[in-house]
Amino acid sequence: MAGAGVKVLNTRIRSVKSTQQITKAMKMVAAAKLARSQGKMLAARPYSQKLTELMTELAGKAEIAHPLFDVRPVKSRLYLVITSDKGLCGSYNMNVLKLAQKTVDASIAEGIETQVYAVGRKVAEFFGKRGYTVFDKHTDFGGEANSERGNLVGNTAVGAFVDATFDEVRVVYASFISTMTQQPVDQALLPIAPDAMSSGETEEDEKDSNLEYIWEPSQEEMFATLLPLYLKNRVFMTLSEAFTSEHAARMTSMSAATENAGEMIDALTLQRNRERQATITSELLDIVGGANAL
Amino acid sequence: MAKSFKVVIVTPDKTAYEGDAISATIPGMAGYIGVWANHAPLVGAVAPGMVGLKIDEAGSEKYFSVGTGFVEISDNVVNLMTDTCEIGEEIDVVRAEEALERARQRLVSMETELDRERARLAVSRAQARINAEKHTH
Repeated sequence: MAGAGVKVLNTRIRSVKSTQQITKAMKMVAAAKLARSQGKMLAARPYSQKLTELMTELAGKAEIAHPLFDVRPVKSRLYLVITSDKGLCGSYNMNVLKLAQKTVDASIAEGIETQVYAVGRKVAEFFGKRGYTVFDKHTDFGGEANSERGNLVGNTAVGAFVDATFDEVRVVYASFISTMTQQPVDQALLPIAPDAMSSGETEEDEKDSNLEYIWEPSQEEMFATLLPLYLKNRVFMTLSEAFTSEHAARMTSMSAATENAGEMIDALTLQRNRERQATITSELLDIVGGANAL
Repeated sequence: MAKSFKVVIVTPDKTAYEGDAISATIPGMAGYIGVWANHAPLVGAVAPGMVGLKIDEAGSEKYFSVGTGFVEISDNVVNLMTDTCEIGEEIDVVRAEEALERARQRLVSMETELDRERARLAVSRAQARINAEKHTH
């Protein structure tokens, strides 16, 4: 009977509506988190820029000898992979994980002992399930970067590099291009490449430079303290960018989901109204037919 | 009139201060660094302590408590990078004194040299906050 169809449709509409409410709420939460995360990222930029400037200045002038610069033949490699803890953010996690798996596989194919350092539950699960070695994991960051977490991850990476557990540390994460676009990237983290900071300044350049700094304490000591700080700040900036991307991805995908739910509700409502009308018409015909028969 | 120069204090969270000053005192690792306009280019390590800025001839001053970091001085611009920075007016002296007391106790009770070093840093941070607050008022 047609009446049953109406009932089924009503239930569907209700269920889609409640889903829509969830996606709408998640979109709004993600939007708020995105705004906060983006604000933080922008606020952190001057510090990071000044630090990089100073490092560049130093790298060109000081005699460079520091454990973090130590370039060794690569026998083991650590991949720091950053994703979210929770899903419902479109293809964000999958894009990062696909790139991560590709690079990790390539690294293993070179005969290099490769391990994964997971930030985010999704990475830990993904690589854990597929039989890769997970070096360490953090699954409780909840999409929020702060300098403490930056220090924690930075210290772990530096520790594993300095005690020669790994000869190279790379990072795979989604860089934030815009709210609509997040690009998964694979970057070197350790050893720090001096030429990545300075534009290849040499001894001769030093003499030409019009600024001769007074160093207090000496350049070597300064370098020793500045380098770890620089690295931790880089890790922090990377985390904060990855998490900003996560919120952006979640916001766009939840916004799309809300729109789709709206369209679905419209279509279902139309169908339900048609069926109801059909039921009424057929009932009316019955009544008219019955009345005529009398 | 004394020449002024630009001072920028940045932390990982924010740009804590940006403005002009005619003189500055900065807690360096090896002692306070006094800065006036046209200071020679300098890069220095900063220890937890109090930063004092003299803003104008009339004697208006600003005080900050800062954590460890670095200072770069060139072309009449002082760039101070530090992990924490609080302006004197916003410091809660009661909390700072409590923190100082706790840190002092830790200094006595800690076993390892690393822990003692941490406690020492905490003491100087708390002391800096109290100083910055006191100078402000």
